[in-house]
Amino acid sequence: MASPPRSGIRLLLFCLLLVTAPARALEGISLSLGDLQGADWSLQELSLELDWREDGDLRARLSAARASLPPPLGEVHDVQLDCARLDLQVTRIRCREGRLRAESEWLPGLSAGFAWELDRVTGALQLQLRDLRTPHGRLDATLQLQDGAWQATLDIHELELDGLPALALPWYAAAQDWSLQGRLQGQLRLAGRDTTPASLAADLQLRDLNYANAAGDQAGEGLALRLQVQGKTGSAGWELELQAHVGQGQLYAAPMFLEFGPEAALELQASLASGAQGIAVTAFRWEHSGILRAAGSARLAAQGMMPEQVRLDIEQAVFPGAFTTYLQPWLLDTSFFDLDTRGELMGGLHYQEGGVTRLQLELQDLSIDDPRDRFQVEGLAGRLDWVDDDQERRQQLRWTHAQLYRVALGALQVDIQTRGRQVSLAAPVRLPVLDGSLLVDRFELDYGETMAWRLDAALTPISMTSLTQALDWPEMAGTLSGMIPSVRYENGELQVGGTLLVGAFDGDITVRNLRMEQPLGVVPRLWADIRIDRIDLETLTRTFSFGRIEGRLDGAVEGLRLEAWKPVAFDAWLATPEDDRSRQRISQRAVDNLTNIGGGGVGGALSRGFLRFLDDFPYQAIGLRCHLENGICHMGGVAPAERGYYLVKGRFLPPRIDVIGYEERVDWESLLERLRTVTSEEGPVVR
Amino acid sequence: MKALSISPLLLALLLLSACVTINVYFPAAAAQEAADRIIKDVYGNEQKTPQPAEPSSQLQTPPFAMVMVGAVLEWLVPPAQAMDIDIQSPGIQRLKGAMTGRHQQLAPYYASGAVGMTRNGEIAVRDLNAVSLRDRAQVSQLVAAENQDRTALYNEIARANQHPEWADDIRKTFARRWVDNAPAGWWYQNESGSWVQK
Repeated sequence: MASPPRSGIRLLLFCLLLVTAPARALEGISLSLGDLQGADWSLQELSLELDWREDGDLRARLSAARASLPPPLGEVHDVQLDCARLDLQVTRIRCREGRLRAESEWLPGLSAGFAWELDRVTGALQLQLRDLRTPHGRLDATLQLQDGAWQATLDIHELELDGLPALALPWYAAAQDWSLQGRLQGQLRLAGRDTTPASLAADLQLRDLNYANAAGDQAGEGLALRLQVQGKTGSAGWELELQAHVGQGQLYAAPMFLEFGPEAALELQASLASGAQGIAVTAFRWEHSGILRAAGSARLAAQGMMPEQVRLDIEQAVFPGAFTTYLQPWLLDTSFFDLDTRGELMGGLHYQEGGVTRLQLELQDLSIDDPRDRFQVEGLAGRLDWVDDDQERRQQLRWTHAQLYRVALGALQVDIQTRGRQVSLAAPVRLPVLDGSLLVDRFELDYGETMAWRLDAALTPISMTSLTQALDWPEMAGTLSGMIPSVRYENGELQVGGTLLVGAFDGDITVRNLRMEQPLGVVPRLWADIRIDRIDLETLTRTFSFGRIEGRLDGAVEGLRLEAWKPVAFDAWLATPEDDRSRQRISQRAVDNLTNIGGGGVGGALSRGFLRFLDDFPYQAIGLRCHLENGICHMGGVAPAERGYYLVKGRFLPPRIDVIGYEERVDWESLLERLRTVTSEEGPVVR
Repeated sequence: MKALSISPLLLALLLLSACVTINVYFPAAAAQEAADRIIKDVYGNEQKTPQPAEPSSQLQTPPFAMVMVGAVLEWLVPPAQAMDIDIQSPGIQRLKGAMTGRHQQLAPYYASGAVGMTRNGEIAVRDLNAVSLRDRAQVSQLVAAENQDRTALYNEIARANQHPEWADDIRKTFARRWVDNAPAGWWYQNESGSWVQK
C-alpha cells in the first residue's frame, strides 16, 4: 500500500513544478514539452497552456497524450489537468475549480473536480479530489501533506467492486482467481509520514457482496456487512481493532456454510497485532446469534496465515444450529454426519500447532439421534475436561435414556477416569438394558492412533419377550443372559470373548466366538458359533406359527457368517436328541410345511388319504441340516433315505408318517421365501 | 515326421499352461455384465441404452485351441466359478441400495457438471461454483460417501467371488461402464485425466 501514495505525491509535485515554473509574462502561453521520463514513469507529448483571466487569476492546462505511470495506474492516455483558477501568491499557491480527465483501460472515462493549495511558508500542501467519477463509482478524496507527514481521506459514496481484483493484480497475482461483486460505501482515512503509513481508520459498508474463487471452496453471496477498523503502526507492525457485523447473506468457507439473517447475525470483534512472527489476535469475539457465542485469542503464522495457537472459549453453543453449522462439516466423511441434535453445550478448546491440547465440554441436556436408528442418547449431561498430558482426571457423564439398534438402555451415571487419550471407568457401572441390565466391570478406551476399546461385563437376564419386541422379531419367551468377559474393539472389529447364554424356548442357546466387523458401517459383518440344547419344539413352533410339533430339539449353527445382518454362510443342523423321552408328535400342518420346505413328499406304509383324518402323528426323530454356501443351502435330514433324506422319521408302528426331502440343493432366498409363506399362513392346509 | 510327433505334446503342454493362466484370468466379459446390472439399478430408469463395449476377453472369440481350453477348463472348474461374477451377496446388495438412494441426490449434480466421473471408477467435484453455497458441503459429503461405497463395492464383489485380488480389475471395469451407461451431458475424466462432456 505504500507505493501508490508515494508515486501520486511525486506526480503531483512534478505537476506543481511545471505549473509554477513559468512566471507571469504574456496573456497566454502554450508550451510543447515533448516527452519526459523518470525512473518508473514517462509522459509523452506533454504540453502546457497558460492563460491570464480577466480577474487576474491564471488558468493552467496540462495535458499529455500518453503516460506510463507506476502500477496500478499503468498506461493512461488523454490526460488533462485543467486548473481554472490558479492563484499565485508569495505565501501560497492555490488552484481552484480544477478538472481532471484521463482515459485508461482499467478506468475509462475518469473525471474529477480538483483543488489544491500549497503554503509556501510552511510547505503544507492540500489536495482535494471532488466527485471523482469512474465507471466503478463515485468518491471524494483529500490529501494533506506537510514536512513529510500526510493524511488522506477517501469518502466512498458508491463503489462497484467488480473491477477490484483486476486492480489488485500487480500486488496479488492470485487475484485473477477471484470474482468479486458488490457495492461499497464508507470512509477510509490513512495517515503517515513519508512512505510509512502510521494510522488507519475505516468504516465501510458492503452490500450485495458476492465473491468466489475459481475452486469454489471460498464464496459468499448476498452478504451485507459493516466493517469498522481502527489501526496504528506499533513497533513491530500494525495494531488493529476490527469490528464486523454480517447481517445478511451466505458464505461458504470449505467445509463450512454460514447463513446470516435478522435471526442469525454474526458479530465479530478482534484485536490484532501483526509482526514479523505473524499475526497475534490478542482477543476476538464471535457471536453468531442463536447458534454460537465464543471468545478467545489466537496466533497466526506469518506464512499462509494458518493458526499456530488458538484458545477458544465457547460461552454457548445451541444445537442443532451449532452442529449443522460448525460440527457437521468436519464429520462429513464419518458415519456420524447427519445426527439430529438438541440441547446446549459450553466449553473451551486449546489448539497448539499440530493438534488440540485441551478440550473442555460442559454438556447441558444434549440429545443425539441417529436418523438411521443405530443409536440415540437423550439428556446427555456432564463435564468433560480432556488435556493432552499424563495426569489422571475424574469426569462424570450421565444420560437419562439411550437406545442402541432399537434396544432401550436406561438412565446411566458414570464416573470416568481419563489420562491423555485413554478413558476408563472409575467404578463398575450398571446400565439398564430393557428389563435387565449390563453390569460393566471394566471399560477402557484408547483413541491414540486408532480407536480401540475393551469391556468386561455380565448381562443379567433380559426377557426375550421385550428383546424380540424391541427388535421387531416374532415374540419369544425366555431370557437372555451371559458372561461377557472380554469385548474388544480394534481396527473396526468387535470381538466378544466368553459365552452369551440365551434361555429361550425352555432350552439353552449358547453363542460363542462372536465377532463383528464395521458394526456401524454400511456392510456390518458378524461371525458366531451357536449351540442349541433341548429347546421345546412346541413353544418354538407356536412362536413362528409353523404348525404344532411336540418334542425336544438339539442343534448347532457352526461358522455362522452374517453380512449386512443377513446370513451368507453356516453349517447348521437341528435334530431330536437321541435320549429324548418327551412326547413326540407332529401335526398335519407341520408335516405339510416341512414337506414344502424339503421339496419332498410324504412316504410311508399308509396313503395320505387315511392320515388326513388324524390331527397329529407320533414320530421317532425329526431334523434338518443346511449347509449354506454361495447362496445355496445343501440340505439334509435326520437320516439318509432312498434318493433323499428323512426330515421326519415316523414311529415304527402305524399310523406311521415319514417326510422325505429330495432336494439336495435349495436356493437360500427361495428357502426363506418358502419359510415366510409357511409361517404367515393361518390355519392348517390339510385337504 | 519328427515335427509332427512333437507337436501334439507341445500342444498339450501349451493347453495345460494356457489352462492354468486362464483359470486365474479375470473374467472381463462377466465382470462387465455384472457391472452393467449394478450400474443400471443405481442409475434407475433415466439412462439411455448403453454403448456396447469393445470385446476385451479372449474367451469371446474362440479359435479352435481356445475351445479346447474352454472344455478342459469346464472340466477342471465348474463354469459358475470361472465365467460368472456373483453380485447377489447381502453386502453387495446393501451397498447397491445405499448408492441407488444416493443417486437421486447426485443426479442433478452430474447433469449440471458440478460432479463428474473419474477414470478410477469414482466421482469427484468438478465445478463447485455450479452448486449453491448451501449445498456445497452436502455435495462434497455425497461425493465422499459415494466414493467410500464404490471402493467397498469393488472390494466386496472381488471378495464375494473369492478373488480379492480382482478388486482393481473390477474397479477398472466399473470405471468404463459408469461412463458408458451414463446419459449424454455428464462429465467424465478421459485417460489423460482431463474432463470431457459425454
